[in-house]
Amino acid sequence: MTRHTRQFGPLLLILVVVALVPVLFGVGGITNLLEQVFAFALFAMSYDLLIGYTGVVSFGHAVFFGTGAYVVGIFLAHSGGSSGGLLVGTCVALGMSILLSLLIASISLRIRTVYFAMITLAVGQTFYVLSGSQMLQPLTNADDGMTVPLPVWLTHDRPVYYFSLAVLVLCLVLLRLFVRSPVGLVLQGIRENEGRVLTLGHSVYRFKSIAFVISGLMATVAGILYVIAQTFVSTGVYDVSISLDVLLMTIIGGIGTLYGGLLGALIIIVAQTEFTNLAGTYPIFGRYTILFGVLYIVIVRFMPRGIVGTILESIKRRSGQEG
Amino acid sequence: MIEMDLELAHLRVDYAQTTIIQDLSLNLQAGVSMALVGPNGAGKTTLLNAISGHCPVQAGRVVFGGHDVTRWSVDRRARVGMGRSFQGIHLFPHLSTLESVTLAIAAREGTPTGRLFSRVPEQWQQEAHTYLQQTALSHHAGKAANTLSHGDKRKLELAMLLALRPALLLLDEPTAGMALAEVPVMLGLLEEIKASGKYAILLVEHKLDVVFRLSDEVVVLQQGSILAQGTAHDVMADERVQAAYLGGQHVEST
Repeated sequence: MTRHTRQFGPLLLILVVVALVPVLFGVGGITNLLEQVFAFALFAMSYDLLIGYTGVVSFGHAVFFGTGAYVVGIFLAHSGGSSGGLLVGTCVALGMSILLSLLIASISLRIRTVYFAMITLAVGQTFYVLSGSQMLQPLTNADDGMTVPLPVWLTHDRPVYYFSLAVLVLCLVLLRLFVRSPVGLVLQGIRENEGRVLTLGHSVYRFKSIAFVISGLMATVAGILYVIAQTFVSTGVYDVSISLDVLLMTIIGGIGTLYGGLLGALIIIVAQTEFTNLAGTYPIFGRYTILFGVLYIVIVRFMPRGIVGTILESIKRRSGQEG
Repeated sequence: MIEMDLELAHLRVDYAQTTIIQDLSLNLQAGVSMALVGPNGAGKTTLLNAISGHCPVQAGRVVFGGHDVTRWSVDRRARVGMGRSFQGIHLFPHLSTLESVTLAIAAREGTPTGRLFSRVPEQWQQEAHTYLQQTALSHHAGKAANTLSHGDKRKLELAMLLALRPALLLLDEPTAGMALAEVPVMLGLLEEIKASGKYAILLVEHKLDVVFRLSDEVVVLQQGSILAQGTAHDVMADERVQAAYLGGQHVEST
């Protein structure tokens, strides 16, 4: 078996299975759920680029996710769900994401990591308040949120599903290329020993800024996928709980693995949905966040590399022993 | 062509309201190897830090290759040819030795931030292999840095430094903590580097046999000032040095 087959074989198999879901199980509940998983998987992978590959912790990554969802939502709503609205909205959202990440980077990436985390949290909360404010009501419909009409070619479940899947795969390929590029290597160096990277002559600030911009862009695309899947957007997309959910997804899947975000998103989204359904019969399940807390502690204590990280490590160890 | 000389002029470095280096002036020419010796607390590592930009300078100037680098950041100084190793191990624990050296090559070449999705050039990896070979680490190319022995970690530090192709090597006790059996290998490598004549070397070292083997010139520091300067033999024969540094014992080179 060649290295490439070993590396990409399982991924291709998963992709084929996921692509066959609408054919095998039909569209509706399961595809709607998976569309959410796709959006959050991309969001979690974008977060992994920061925490897992660069060693930078952000508590306000939802600011990019929310901006993607809101900007595209506003453009679609105000253009009556036209393809042009989707296209222009996407370009504006990506442009805003770049400006926002450069702005946050310029005021906070030069300072200590803990302050960076705090500033991202503050910016995230500012957008949360703005999105619900009455001042912006004509644009955002304030606290009530807004229903988002989609272009005709995205009005059925199947096209939405395949569109979301295609965007996810494209972004995954780009992210993988990015982490394996010279810039990706420098970022991993920063995670491992920032001072040494600096002493070698790399501008740490510049590389952290690049990571933040790329991560922000991917989170913005995730937000766009989310609004397409939900056809609704409200202040919840900026909520700090979204930033914490994505942290949990990344940790459960495995930080620094990239693919961990896929599994983490699947577990958390499916669990959230199932617990919410069960809460109808057994109210105790309404408190499922407590279970997530327990899961978080168990993973950090017994599987610090997350599920994918632990699996990759054991494969590496086994192939080392065979070699 | 600008000679990559190092010039320190009337340098003063304070730390926690104490003067560690005071009014220190020194010249190190390209191709010359200079050892800094002195008792603990004399300011040897602080002086290296002041040169590499790891601590601020309160007065005086650091001039390197014609540039006044006194206010430059650490990374900017490295980009004009300062290579620095530390007394403690300062590596990338989970990166392989090959990746670590490639990272140094990337720093030297200036990582192309415009090509965010391209692979690490094959040429860099091949070059990284030659530095691993030069430092007798090629059989550890795929191993993570934190799985190496202490001696091999020291060699990896050296391989990364060489990959930078610096004009000035600032080496802080390059054999510190190494097993006795590993020291001759490291010394052999350092001698080769010195003999190549490509580098100005400023070396902090406690082991006198290392000082004798690796330096053209020795500077003895005491309380942040230069006590004596000259060849290793001349300096060690100096009575003031014997009294201050060695408690009055006569020293013979080994």
